[in-house]
Amino acid sequence: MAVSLLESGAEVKRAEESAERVALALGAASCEVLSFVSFILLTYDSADGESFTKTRRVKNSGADFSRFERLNALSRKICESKMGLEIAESEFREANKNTSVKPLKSYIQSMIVAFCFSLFFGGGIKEAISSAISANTIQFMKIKGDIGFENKLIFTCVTSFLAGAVCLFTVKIGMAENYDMVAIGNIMLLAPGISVMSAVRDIISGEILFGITRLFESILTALSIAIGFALPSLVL
Amino acid sequence: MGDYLYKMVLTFVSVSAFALQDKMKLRTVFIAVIGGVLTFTAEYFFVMKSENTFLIYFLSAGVTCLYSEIMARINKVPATIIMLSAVIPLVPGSIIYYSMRGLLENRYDIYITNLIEALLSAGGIASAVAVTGVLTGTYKKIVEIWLKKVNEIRP
Repeated sequence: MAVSLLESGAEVKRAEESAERVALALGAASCEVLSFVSFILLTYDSADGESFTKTRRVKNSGADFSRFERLNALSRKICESKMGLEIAESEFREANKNTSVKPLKSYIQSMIVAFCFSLFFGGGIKEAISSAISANTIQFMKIKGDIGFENKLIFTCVTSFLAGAVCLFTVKIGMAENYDMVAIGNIMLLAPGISVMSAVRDIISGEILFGITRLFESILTALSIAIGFALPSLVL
Repeated sequence: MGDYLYKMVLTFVSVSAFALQDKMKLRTVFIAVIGGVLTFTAEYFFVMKSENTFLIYFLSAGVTCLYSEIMARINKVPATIIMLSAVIPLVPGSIIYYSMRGLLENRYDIYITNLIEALLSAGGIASAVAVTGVLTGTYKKIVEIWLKKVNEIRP
C-alpha cells in the first residue's frame, strides 16, 4: 500500500500513515513504517507476538491521481469496515491497477495544455499553435522515449532540447514569431510542480531528509528543462 | 475585465487538461479546475493590490491550499491531488526559463533578476503550503483531543 501510494504521487507521511493504519486494522498488534528516499521499511508485531520486517524499494514515482484516490479510499474502507485480509488483498489488487490513458487522448491533452499556457503567458495564436505542435514531441518522448534513459535528468534535458528544437523550427519556417512564447507552453508540461509541492509538504510534516531530496531533485529537473529549452536557440 | 475573463477561460481549459493528464477522476478534475480558477482570480486580485512578489504568491497559494483542504474534507479525497492541479497557474516555469536563458546568453542582469523572482515566487508558494500544513495539523490534533474527551465523558 505504501509503495503504491508513493509511486502514484502521494506524500511520504500519507504513505506511512496509511500502511500503519491498514496493518493495525488487519490485525497487527503494532506496526511501524519508515520511508527513506527510495525504500520503505515496515515492521509489525502479529497478535501472537511474532515480529516481521519487510523492506521494499520504490523504483518509480509519478502522478497517477486516480490510482492514488482509489488507494486512499481503500485504506479508509479497510480501517472503517475491518474487512478480512483476503478481501482486502483482492480489493487492493483492483485499486492498484495503473490507470491507462489512450495515447491519442494524451497527445490531445498535452496540445491543449501547451496551447493554453502559450496564450496565458502572452503569446499570440501563431505561437500557441506552434506550441501545441511541439508539445507532441514531449508526449512522444514520455510515451516511448524513457525506456532507453536510466537517468531522469538527462531524459528531461534531452526531451526539452528536442521540444525546443521543434519550437525553433516552427519559428524558423515562419509559423510563429516569438520562440520564448512557443517554448513556455511546452515548459509548463514538464515543470516539476508535483515534486516541489510534495517535497514542501514532506518537509513540513517532519520528513526532512525525504523532502530535501525531492526538492533538490525538482530544482535539478527545473534547471535541466530550462537549459534544454534555452540551448536550441543558441546552438541551432 | 476582458483580460481577466480571457485568462480565466485559458486557466479553466489548461487546468482541466493538466488534471486529466495526471489521470485524475472526472469529479476531482472539476473540483481542481474550480481551484485553479480561484487561484488565478486570487493572483489577479493580489497583483493589483501589491507589488511584493513573495506576498502575491504567498496569499494566492494560501487561497489554493485552504480551498484544497476544505474540498478534500467535504469530498473525502486527498488534498494533495486538488492542490497540485489547482496551483498550476502559479508555477513559475517561465521565470526559471528566462533566468536560465539569461545565464546561457551571458546576460547576468536578466539571469539574476529572474532568479530572484523565481525564488521569491517559489518561496511564497512553499510558505503558503507550509502554513496551511501546520494549521491543518493543529486542527486535526484539536479535533482528535476533543473527540477523545467526548468519548471519555459519554457513559
